Amino acid sequence: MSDEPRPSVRQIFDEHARYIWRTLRHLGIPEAEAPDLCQEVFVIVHRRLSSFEGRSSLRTWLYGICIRVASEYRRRPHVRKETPLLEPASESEQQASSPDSALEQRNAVQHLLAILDDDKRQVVVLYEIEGFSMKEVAEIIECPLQTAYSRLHAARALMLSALNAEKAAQS
Amino acid sequence: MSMPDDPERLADVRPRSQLGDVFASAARDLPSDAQLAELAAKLGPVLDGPEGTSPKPSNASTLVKLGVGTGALALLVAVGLTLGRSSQPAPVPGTVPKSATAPVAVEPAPAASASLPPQPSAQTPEPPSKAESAAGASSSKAAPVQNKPASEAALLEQARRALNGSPSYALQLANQHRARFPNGVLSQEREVIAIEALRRLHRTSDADQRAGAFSKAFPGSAHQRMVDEAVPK
Repeated sequence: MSDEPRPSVRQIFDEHARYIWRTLRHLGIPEAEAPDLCQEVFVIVHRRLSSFEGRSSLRTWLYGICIRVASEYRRRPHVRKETPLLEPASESEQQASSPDSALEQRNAVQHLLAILDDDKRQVVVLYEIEGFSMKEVAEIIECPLQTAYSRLHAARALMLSALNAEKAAQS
Repeated sequence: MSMPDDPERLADVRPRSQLGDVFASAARDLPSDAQLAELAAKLGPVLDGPEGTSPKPSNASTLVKLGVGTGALALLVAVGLTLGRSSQPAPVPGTVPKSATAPVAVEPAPAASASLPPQPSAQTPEPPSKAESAAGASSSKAAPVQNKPASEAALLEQARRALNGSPSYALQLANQHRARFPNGVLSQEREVIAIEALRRLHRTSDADQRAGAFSKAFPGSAHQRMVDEAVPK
């Protein structure tokens, strides 16, 4: 058990909400659904924070909830039928200095992540974008460390292959 | 943080590959402040309430649990105020529309509320009169002023419920809201309740003054119509 005082839900929200939101989006949650799913994450945090024992870091625990909320969402029947890859610009992108560029970049990210299955996608998002160590990634998604490494390598190969195929198609 | 055995992150590799560029840009894909403020408003009781419990069973927190946010609370305020008008036919509120869960624009309140006229201190609230207490027994027995509701949404819901039976209590709660949440995202809803409470207390000049301040502070507000109805010009 950590000796550090446990932060309040408000403090956790202030520090992590924007990153939880980002993670949900990269895990395949559409922009329109992100607020509700983010809300689900923090309702669970509120309910379970008192029983958080500090065996893992708070951030690891929090992203574990996030991963499970996103997975549960993507298993819903009406979601599995949908393949929303490209979306219109969000509010923040419209305010960006070059919204077209921001939109292109976001669509490139979503397009590449969408070719991965959920297992590989989680590893890529947590490691490449959210900056967790592979040990933490394995802990969050509850798999052996070697499995996490394997998924990362496979995911990189798949995405690189997709990019190369896209380049070849354009040339 | 990477461990020694971890491969280098592609966004950190130099020269950066195209895939590295994609991941670097992904890290910048964050929600706007307005989106976060709206989310915080939706979560009201969850963020400020005691941990390990379900959100308080007020109407507002129930709505939050159902995923209904600021827009729905505004609707609730509007419906509540309309229902409270004895001189008008009361519309029957149906189910909350699905669109209430959609993102709504959250207007920044701080600068605007700073220009509103000073109000009696929320620290020294006047208790409701006996008549008001009796009339508003069902609405004001939920919590005394000293038992602070956890969130601004819950506080305003309490104020709205007090409007019918005890407008002075509703006004106290609205002023308490202003003291506790001077930059709250529900500042406009608070002002509407306060103006309506002043009208019901026959404090016409105070209602006029507050309505005027509201119009200046929140030009083009969706609540302006309710303010105009409360304080006809």
